Amino acid sequence: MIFTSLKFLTFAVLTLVGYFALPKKLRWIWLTALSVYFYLCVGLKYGVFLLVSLLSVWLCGLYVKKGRWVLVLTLLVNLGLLAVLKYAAFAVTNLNRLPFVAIPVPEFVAPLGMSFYTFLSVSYIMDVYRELSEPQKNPLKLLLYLSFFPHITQGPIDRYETLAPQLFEGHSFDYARCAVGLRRALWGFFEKLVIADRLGLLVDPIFAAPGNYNGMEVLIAIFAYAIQIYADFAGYMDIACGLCEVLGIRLTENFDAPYFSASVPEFWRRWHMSLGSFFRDYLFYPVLRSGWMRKLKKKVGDRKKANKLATVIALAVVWTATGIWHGSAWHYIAWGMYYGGLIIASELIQFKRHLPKPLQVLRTFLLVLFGYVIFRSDNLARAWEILVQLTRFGDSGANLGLDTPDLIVACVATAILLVHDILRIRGKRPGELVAALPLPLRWVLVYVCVLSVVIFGVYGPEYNAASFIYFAF
Amino acid sequence: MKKHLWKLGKTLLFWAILLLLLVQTNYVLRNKNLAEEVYCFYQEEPNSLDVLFVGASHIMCGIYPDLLEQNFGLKSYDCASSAMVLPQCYYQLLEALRYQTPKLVVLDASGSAFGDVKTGTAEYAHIQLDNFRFSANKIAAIYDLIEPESRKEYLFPLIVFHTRWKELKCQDLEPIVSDTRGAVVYTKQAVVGELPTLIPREDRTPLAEVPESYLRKCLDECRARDIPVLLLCTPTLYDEQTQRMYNSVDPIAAEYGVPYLNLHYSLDEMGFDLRTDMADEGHCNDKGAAKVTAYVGAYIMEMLGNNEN
Repeated sequence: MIFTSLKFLTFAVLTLVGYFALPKKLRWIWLTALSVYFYLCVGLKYGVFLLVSLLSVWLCGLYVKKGRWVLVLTLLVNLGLLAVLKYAAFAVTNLNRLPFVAIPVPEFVAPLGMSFYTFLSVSYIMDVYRELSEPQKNPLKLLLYLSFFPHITQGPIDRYETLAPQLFEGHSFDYARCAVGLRRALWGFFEKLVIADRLGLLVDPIFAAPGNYNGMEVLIAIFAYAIQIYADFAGYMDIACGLCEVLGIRLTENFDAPYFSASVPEFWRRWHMSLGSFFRDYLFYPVLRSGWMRKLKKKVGDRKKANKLATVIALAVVWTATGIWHGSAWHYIAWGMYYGGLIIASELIQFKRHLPKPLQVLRTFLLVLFGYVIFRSDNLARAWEILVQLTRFGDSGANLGLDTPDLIVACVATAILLVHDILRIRGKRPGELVAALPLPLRWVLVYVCVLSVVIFGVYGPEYNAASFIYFAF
Repeated sequence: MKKHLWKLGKTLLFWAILLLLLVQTNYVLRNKNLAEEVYCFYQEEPNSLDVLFVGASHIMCGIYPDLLEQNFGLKSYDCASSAMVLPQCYYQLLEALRYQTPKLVVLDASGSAFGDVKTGTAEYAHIQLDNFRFSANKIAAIYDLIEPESRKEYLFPLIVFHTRWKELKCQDLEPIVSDTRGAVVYTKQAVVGELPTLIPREDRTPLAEVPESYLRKCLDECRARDIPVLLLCTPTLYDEQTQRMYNSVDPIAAEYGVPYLNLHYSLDEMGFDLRTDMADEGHCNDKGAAKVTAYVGAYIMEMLGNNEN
């Protein structure tokens, strides 16, 4: 059930109406039932994997104090399932390249949102193990945390301690909060349907056959992809957060004007923030504080050097994992290592920050664009082809996929997104600014936004309704 | 309490304005090609029509309500649309009967030859259904005629037509009007080679299941409302196979005791010349339509027992 489908809109309305119509005590049950329904809409068989994760995590929560082996076993079950379903085919395909190896390639399909709910599971059991969270005795409540429909497909990866109390508490209806939430969801629809899916029409053909286009067109496609993926992912987040806001639930924010970052590490503190903090807390620090790392540090001797080495190793592990998490293909791993390399370099080399801030932002954005070439391409060969094509000039005569009116809409909508993010980096919340407007102006703004989505949105039978990009991860 | 009432009022006003804007946007953006035949029916005064013609383009091109009123004093309307098959005719009939109680319903029998389909192409289905007013009948029609995966496109036509913002013209902002009461006038003349052989009226082929069942539904509906029916098939240049299907309506008409005017067998009586009176293979031109209208008008007058007027 795609967030931008009529089916989801109906589902969302039913969710809200049912939630506030039911007694407070029953509201979390309503959310659980709807989340399970939402998940099973994809296919009943996928529910089995969610159930396995739920049972293992629930039991682990209850018995983790019996010994560390319970934690390890649960991590193995959950990460093992993710590894087998998502990466087995990739691993076997690569193994088959070795001489005398011919293993049949398994045809597993990873269940929807598996990467996300597995990480939610990991964060829960780790927090219980570290005694940061109380174990949940009610498996249905845990099921709600894992399968909560606004976050199961694309995150954010909320911590149990932050999200669970909000889920189980029955929130009262609040008119102002409802209006704020609905406006945010509307903005999400604008980002997704007007910007992201429109730019997708330009990006897809160029990344599919870059040889048909000249350097300028390829450059436009890379730039457009940067806007597309941001509008797509942030659009999803705004719809999810907006809907939760109406319910009185606050999800973790995932974006904070990332393209205005002055450095690559800052970019990753502003982009997919919940994934970054997950890797920091459950991979980076555990690697850094592990026994073998302590031994390695001892061997190095010099404390400063030892710390640097440990940080570099931990960063390398984190960024390789980030790449692998995004997909089972070499270009994702290369993309993770590219960022790992940049961030390690920024750790090791102390840049003299003599560049003015706008140029730092531009430099970061260009580095991010380069990363997108690797990330968006189907494989590394295609990424190379795109980079080579950037140097080709002359008229390609190819169709850009968007006609002039569509390009104008894309530019205007992107400019609006830019203004939105400029407001954010200036410490203002666009949602609050709109809420502070006089009523008639606020309504006009909302009507314009609704009509923009309805008229200029890319949807309907003429289009192959694009799924959200992060559904794939 | 006052605060709550103010919030409630504000919310209702907000959604009402939004709904109005969406309805207007839907109106402006939707494809208005051939819309007037169905859309302008609602502009007729309720319960003002004597005769209701229901059917496909053969009716639109073959019956001129203005001539019928001029020559026979019969106020009528062509509730017709291109490629409107009998299942669509059924819902068109129900829609028309929500506003009118005619003395006679003339049902286009040419839909019997369309085969086992519930609508023509999607474009034709939109022409009819998008111009229905929102009602339980419209929803029933969509649920019955349209495949489940496409229903939302008929419930919310903006899903299909929102891309027309690029091709909007001034006419899209103007109201849809028509002064022909559903009729379409063709002045061209078909280029006719060899005329099709007219088969004997007893030469029939079984009707497909869908058209037959909806033809019966139409007849049942009129019978239930006590409205007399005339089945009509306007002249065409179609082949023998199609003629056989048209002839297959005869036993159903006999079963229901309703007259069936298959004009393929009345060409001489009407003075109808297939070489000069057709606009194309299936539709009459203005000369042909005048002859058909005169003939059908006289028949209706006789049928309604109003010859003395």
